Amino acid sequence: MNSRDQTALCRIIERLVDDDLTEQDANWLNDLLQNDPEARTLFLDLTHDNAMLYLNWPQLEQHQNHNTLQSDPPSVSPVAHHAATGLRPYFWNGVSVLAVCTCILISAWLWSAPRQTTHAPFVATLTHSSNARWAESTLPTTVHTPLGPGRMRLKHGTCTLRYTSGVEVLLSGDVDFELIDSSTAKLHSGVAKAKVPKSLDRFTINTPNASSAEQDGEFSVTYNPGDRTSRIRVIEGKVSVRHQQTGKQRIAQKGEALEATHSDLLQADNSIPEGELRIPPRSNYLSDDTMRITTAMGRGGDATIIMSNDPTFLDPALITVKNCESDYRRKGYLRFDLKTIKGSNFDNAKLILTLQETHWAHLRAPHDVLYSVFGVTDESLDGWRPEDLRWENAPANVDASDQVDESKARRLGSMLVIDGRATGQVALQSKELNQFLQEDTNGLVTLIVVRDSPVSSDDYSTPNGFASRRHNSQLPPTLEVQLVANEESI
Amino acid sequence: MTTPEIQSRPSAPQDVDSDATEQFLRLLGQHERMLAAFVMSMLPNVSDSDDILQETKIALWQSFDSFEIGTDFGAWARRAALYRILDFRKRMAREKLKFGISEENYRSLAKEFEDSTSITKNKFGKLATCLARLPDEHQQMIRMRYMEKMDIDQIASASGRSRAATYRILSRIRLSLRECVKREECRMMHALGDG
Repeated sequence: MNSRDQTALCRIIERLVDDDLTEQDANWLNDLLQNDPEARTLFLDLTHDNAMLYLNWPQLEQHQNHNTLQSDPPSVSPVAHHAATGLRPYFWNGVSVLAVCTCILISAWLWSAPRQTTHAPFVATLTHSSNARWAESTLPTTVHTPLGPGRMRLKHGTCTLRYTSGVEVLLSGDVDFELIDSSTAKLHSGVAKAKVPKSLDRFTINTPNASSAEQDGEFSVTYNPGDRTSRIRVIEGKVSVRHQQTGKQRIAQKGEALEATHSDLLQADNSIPEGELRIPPRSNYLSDDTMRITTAMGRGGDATIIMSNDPTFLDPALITVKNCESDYRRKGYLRFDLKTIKGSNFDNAKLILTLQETHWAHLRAPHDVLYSVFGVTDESLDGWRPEDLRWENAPANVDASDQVDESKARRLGSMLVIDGRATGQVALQSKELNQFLQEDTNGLVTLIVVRDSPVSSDDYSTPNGFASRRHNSQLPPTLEVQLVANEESI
Repeated sequence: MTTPEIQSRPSAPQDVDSDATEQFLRLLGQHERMLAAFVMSMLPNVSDSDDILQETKIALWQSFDSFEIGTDFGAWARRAALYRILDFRKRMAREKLKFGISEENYRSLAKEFEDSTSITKNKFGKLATCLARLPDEHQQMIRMRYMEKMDIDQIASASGRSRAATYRILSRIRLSLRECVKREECRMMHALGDG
């Protein structure tokens, strides 16, 4: 295999990573792999390296930094062993009881919610919560529910997460925590404490400016988004911390604390008790660079379609969505006029829907409800009129309750409504939504909301409702974006 | 031991044997990283590989009754994943949604992966060592790819290069990492008196 083919194969792998392979690339690749054993070996080496880099990124970088620090004797003490050995048997007994309970619950979950499991790998379980009030989270907040990757936003109270890797994380107070995988998490705001078992390579908590990894021990991380400061305190063992902006790294031992500001990583005053960073509550105001567009603005619009086309079961103030076998299945259609952001570059696009009671005299299931949002890619279909929209003529519609015609629309993400609640708001924020809006060329976008699960049963048949543009007091369906200066325009 | 095509377990949660559940979770925990690495080696796109991995885990659980305790769970799991990858490939080809690797090539690659699991298992430390040896500029590009999760166009824009130049540099980095890992493998084999 010559070096030219090697380089070409590397290029093909980049295209595979980006899901951007052409037919010509695929033909060339298949010929090469079929006829050249050396090419197969190279392909596997490169794709396996790609997998290792993707699956282990924070740990690889930490490992690299950790090795560098360990080879520097003047600045590093020997590894501190877990001092609280007396706690270990108690801890592991507790864990094994929890594990058995968790196992049973996981299996129940695996059997009872197959559709949900296709969207997220299992990362941790919420094992305990006390006096907890939750803000808008992308994950279920019911105790003993297995959790995939996603955000948990606690307003007050405490909760404990148990990772599949054995790590226990305690969240307390006003905290915004993201589960990434079984050995990595991200703290966006507030405080989290992690207890890491000896069996794990390492567990990493990232903040926007620091990455903290521990193997065997206990540490807490606080992040204050107001002044962009992280504080890491070591309770047992030692923690390797890397400053995201400068790459500077330090190791903190038991009883020590480090502080990462926006520009440096410093030894902190460890006489201040844990939780020392005061984090002011988030402002209720939208920032100056935030733009909101509702379906009530400009050429926007919204409507519900019902398979029976019977208007008796529609309410102009609501977008109602239902997944069932009968003619009462419903989907929501939303159109946004992007005139106000046309020509601007933006990021962090978010769809916000306001939950409402539907007042149909049936029970609403007290279960988590999962919705999917699709964007209509065929722009010639954006001209629909809400008053004329029917099941048969709705853009990209198909008969299945939870599907659309994916040759004319594409999935932008999912939203979870916890316990089937009917108040507050639910939001979808995804890279796919942002990209979909950026790709628009006619100034209009159509989104379709479908309900994935659960399917309505005889016991619980009421559809879920969201305020429409015609609701007299609630926020209509809204797109929110953050404008970004000095970039290419859409 | 049968291949792990779906053979439904009893559907009622109350029938769950908690020992089996615990055993399944323990085995899955031990082999999950390798399974994920296998799926991503076959399907380097994260979104596709995540879906396949999730489908595979469910299939493994549903057919866990047919797994013979004491045999190689990792190999069994990777076979299940390969079936899902082949299904996915067929679906994509039928609907002309994506172009990709042929079934025959997937089977050859999976066999080769299986033959080299002892090497791939111990790659973490070598890769970390080799990453540290990359020039700063190359480390920065790898960070963009894997920490910032940027695609080629974003990396090109952030680094002020053309798309073609970005492809060239990333290709060079990948090849140099691979060479470095191979050298580390040789060095360790010599150090162990195996070479």
